[in-house]
Amino acid sequence: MGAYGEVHYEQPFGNNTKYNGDMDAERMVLLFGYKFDKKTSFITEIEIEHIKEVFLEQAYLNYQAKPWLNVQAGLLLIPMGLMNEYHEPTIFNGVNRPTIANALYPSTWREIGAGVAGNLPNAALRYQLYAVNGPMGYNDGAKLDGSKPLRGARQKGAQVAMTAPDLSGKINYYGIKGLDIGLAGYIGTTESNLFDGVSRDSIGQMATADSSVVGIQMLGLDARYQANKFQAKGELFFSNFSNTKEYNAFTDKDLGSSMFGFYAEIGYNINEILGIKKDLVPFVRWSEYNTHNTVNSELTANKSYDRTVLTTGISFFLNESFVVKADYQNFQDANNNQLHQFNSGIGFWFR
Amino acid sequence: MKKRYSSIALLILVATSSVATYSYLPDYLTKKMSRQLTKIFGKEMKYQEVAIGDSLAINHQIFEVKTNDNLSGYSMITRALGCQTGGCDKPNKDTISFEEFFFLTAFDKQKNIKKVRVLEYTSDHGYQIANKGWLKQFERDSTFEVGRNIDGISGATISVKSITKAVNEQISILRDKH
Repeated sequence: MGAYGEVHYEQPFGNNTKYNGDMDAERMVLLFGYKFDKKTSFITEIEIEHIKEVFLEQAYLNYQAKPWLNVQAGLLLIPMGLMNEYHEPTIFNGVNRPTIANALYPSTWREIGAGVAGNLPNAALRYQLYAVNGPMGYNDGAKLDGSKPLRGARQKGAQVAMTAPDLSGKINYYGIKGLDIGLAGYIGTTESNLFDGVSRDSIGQMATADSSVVGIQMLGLDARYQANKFQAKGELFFSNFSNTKEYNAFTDKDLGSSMFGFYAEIGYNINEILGIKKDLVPFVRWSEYNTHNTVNSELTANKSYDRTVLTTGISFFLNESFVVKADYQNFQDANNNQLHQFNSGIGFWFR
Repeated sequence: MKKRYSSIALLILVATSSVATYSYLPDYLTKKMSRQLTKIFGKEMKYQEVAIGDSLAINHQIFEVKTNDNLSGYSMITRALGCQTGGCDKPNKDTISFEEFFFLTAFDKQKNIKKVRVLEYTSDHGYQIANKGWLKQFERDSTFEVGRNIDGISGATISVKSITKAVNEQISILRDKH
């Protein structure tokens, strides 16, 4: 059994507007792993968010058929980017996860499904391939929007609806010293409750239901690098949404036809320079992302969805499992709206 | 009464099966090792297992490597504990719930390290330690310590520590006891 958790303090500053600071026990996660025998294990994470919401973050059965082949089934984390699968607060810089992990893919993104995963140490490759239920695009109302397209659509394994499975996969290559590169893909369609109980003969009902789903094709590239005291990481995503004209017309939403974004981050552990034992890592991260990268002919691209974020901060590790963080963020959009925010927080991780 | 016997039987079954889980190293690892040793010592090499005590045999296997009947080096396969099932942090004494991985260290006849290779790594976390460039750091005569002569790897802290400790152990086992 193990756990990790985060407590944050966030203070935004506007130009002329006053904002309240926000203090929050953001999340507390309990991990349980149980090995039934040498080959079969069950892994689950239970998350308590903002004190009052309880979620299952993952819960799946793992069967090791071969040293290089695991069969997994249950509530799975979607392998996309760096932050979705590995998000213990001690392994990323900054109080909050990179903004992109919210806007371009809905971290923590998990869905019900099954698939295979494995590791080939000799070839320095790791692979994952899953068939999962899609995000919920329509459930008595639209779940997708232009600003954070998939954020509200995660089904999180709660009474999931599915028409056809989506495919999710990732390959990691770690053959270069200090470098781990991942390429992930996601192909599928969102789900809609309008298909539930639809008569196949009713052209009108079927057409309405068809307008309530969108196709998703997402490609994600990520890399992390570490050499002695230097560390760097980055993520890049391109997503295409189809059927958005019909979806937007039907739901009165502003979902873009594609979105694009990336961030790059560098950090350096200055413990030796300062002559201290504990790790102290200043870092800077540049993010750029646009959820209206392209829009369909009926829609005008919303410039406020074309955003950049500059984050500078520091992570101070009291030990391997306890970190104190602070950072300053400057948000800007293509309309030149700016927002500054100071964040501080603690994160821990133990077993 | 019957119920009690069956629960005792079940208990014994569970106990024996969990003991069996941590018996000796799996056989197929030797095949994987053989492929690596051919690359390191050449096609002519032959290896033979050396008998070691039970307490060592749980986690280690030692082989003598010979080429044309002359000793050319040694090889060790070792079980190391990586992350705990479902996550990763400091290994503790309760080994049952830990992911394990297996690696090979080839030594020359002076018992200095020639190569370290990960033979099997199944856990979701920490797999980056199998990187050959990173493992190259062990190819020298030293006592190894993370942060001093072994680089850390972000996201693989536990496995990095675990393999570093295990390599130090291998060296002392081979040099002291064999």
